[in-house]
Amino acid sequence: QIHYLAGLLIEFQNMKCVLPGANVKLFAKAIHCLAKLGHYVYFEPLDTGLALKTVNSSRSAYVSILFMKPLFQVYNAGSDIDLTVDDDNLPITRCKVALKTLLQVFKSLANIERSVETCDIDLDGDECRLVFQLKCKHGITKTHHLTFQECESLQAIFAKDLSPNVLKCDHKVLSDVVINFSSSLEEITMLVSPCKVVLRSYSDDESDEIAQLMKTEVSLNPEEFSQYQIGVDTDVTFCLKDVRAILAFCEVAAMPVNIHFEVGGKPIIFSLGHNGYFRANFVIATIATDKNSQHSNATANFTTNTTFPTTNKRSFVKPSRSKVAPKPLRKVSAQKTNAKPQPTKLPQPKDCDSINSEHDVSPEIPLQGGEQTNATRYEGFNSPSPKQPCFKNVKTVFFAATQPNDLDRTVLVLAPDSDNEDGT
Amino acid sequence: MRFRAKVVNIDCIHHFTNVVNTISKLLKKCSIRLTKEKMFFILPDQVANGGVSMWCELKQANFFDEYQMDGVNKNELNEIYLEIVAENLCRAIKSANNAKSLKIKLTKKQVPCLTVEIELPSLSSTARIVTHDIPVSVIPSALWGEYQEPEMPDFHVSLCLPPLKTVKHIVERLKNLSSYLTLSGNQEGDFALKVETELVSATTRFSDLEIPPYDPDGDSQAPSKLWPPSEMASARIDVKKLLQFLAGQQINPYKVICNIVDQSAVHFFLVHDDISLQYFIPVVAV
Repeated sequence: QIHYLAGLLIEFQNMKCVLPGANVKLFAKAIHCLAKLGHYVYFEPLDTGLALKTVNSSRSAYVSILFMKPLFQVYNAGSDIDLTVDDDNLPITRCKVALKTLLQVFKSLANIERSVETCDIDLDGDECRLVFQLKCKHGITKTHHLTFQECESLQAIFAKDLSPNVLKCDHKVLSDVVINFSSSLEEITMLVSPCKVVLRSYSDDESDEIAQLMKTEVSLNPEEFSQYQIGVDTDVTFCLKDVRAILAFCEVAAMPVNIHFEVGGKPIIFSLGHNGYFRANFVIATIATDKNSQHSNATANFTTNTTFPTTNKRSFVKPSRSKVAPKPLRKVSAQKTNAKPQPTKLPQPKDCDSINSEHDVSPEIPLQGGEQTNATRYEGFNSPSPKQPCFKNVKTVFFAATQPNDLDRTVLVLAPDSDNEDGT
Repeated sequence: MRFRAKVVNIDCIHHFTNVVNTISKLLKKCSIRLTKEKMFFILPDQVANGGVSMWCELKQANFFDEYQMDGVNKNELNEIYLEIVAENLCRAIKSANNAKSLKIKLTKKQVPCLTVEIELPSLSSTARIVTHDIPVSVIPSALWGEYQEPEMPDFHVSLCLPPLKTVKHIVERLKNLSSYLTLSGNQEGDFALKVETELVSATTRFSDLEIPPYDPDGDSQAPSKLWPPSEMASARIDVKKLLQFLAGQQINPYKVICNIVDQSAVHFFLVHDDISLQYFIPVVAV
């Protein structure tokens, strides 16, 4: 442990980047968006840029925003230490900071737009502080020292590019639609078919009380989308509040939004990107319904195990099975500071999938398991003791993270197992 | 029972939106009465409302391009009475801010609903359609008697209020001093708003206000002849209710007539081309 910690401390010394004024507003708005969803922002300096990630407490929403190198005046991920890593996307230093605190630094967007000239972000390993220095007009410098916590890598497992359904549109189209729904509405259902998209207010109960609530429905013509690909006619239900937070961010980012989804139970992904500069993925869990579990069986490309029908209609995506830690191909947990990367293969059930770094183009395939008791079942973030059964009836983890104390479970990549579709 | 109405003109849509917004500021649950000629929004006098009541009627022809109403039966009961949560209607109509058309119809989903269907401009050839299903309850004809136009009481004083904005401003300041406010006026055009507590008494006076003309043949009622013209009739009312009435105003009437029944009630009458709105506030017991 100590060695490990010491190893981490050494690594933490060198991250340093400087954001020019023009991009600080985008950065600040990203923080605002993250703050609406999660409690901590995970900073992961990658070679390609600085990734900000968060996940909400119910593990049903995950955000990853990557500010790439060209956005910075100075960008140094701190790659001085040779970490026995051979792939350039491996996060070298990782820390998480409380969003409530960080929000104080970037509180007023108007102020930031008006007066901030540059923003320096430095990871001070000695003092264990993440330092934000805002150099403003008139010679004013505001320096904020935030304590951080070392943390595991936060990585969701999702298969964006394998989604049969892809919609792409201007964020305004979505904002204009969403505004018609009551601000207190929790969840929304999106029904797609080749001829139209319908967004409908969702109520999970057919009781009398619910029948008394106003129901709203908006329909859109496929022509409103710059890309409209529906591979599977379906309906997906997800949290509207999360989507509102995403759309608020899109307003500043001013980029078209891509929506990737499949069926209920599989996550819906909203993504924005500007090649080479910026990439954002917002992964939101959707409600699984019984009929959808048969649906996913049909898709040949997925080796997700769906033979164990989701017994709980209401639960969101099921926790992924343990062994497969979300590691990029050929990569190893950075916590292993004392050894060469040795992908260890743990015995596991047949359905395991390859996972890639989410910011690469190739997809990761989510693992979905039913409620089986399996000694090595994974419980997401809260580092699991293998004995705990994972019965999460509500929105659950659909991705996994590597943890410092998971060293013995680090693993890797497995080729998709194609003969597992019917559970044999 | 069938009801279907459509508005295409954006000004009419805005006008209707203003009426609905004003109504929803005044009450939570509202009754809607539909007849062949008119649409009424009613809040009957009930203890639950603190004795406050409201009556608003508009001529459907002034708002709707299409209007079809088939009541309970074709004879004496050719009307429809519904009860709705005003805020829902308000929220639904909000979507129509720049609509191409607004349709309202009575439908039966899981429960009877007033369905508001709005056509919005879109980037494509087909418009975006927003549909809101607002649950309503149908009021049986046996209870229709409770929803009749309130009788105008024999009021003592009748005068036209100064601009509502001004009155609202003053009442907003006065409300910080006390929960009760005394409204008083006389037939010579004097009007006062007074708040009195142990420590302080604050009064705002207006004079030379217009007295609404009394037309013996028309609808307006004459103020009581027995009341001396210079004598102030007053009524002590709940300031919150007064403020609710003043603050929610979006109709822009050209006149607001205030009738005071001494020690009994205050009655506001908004005069407008297309709409008439009446609001009663009873006095608060001392």
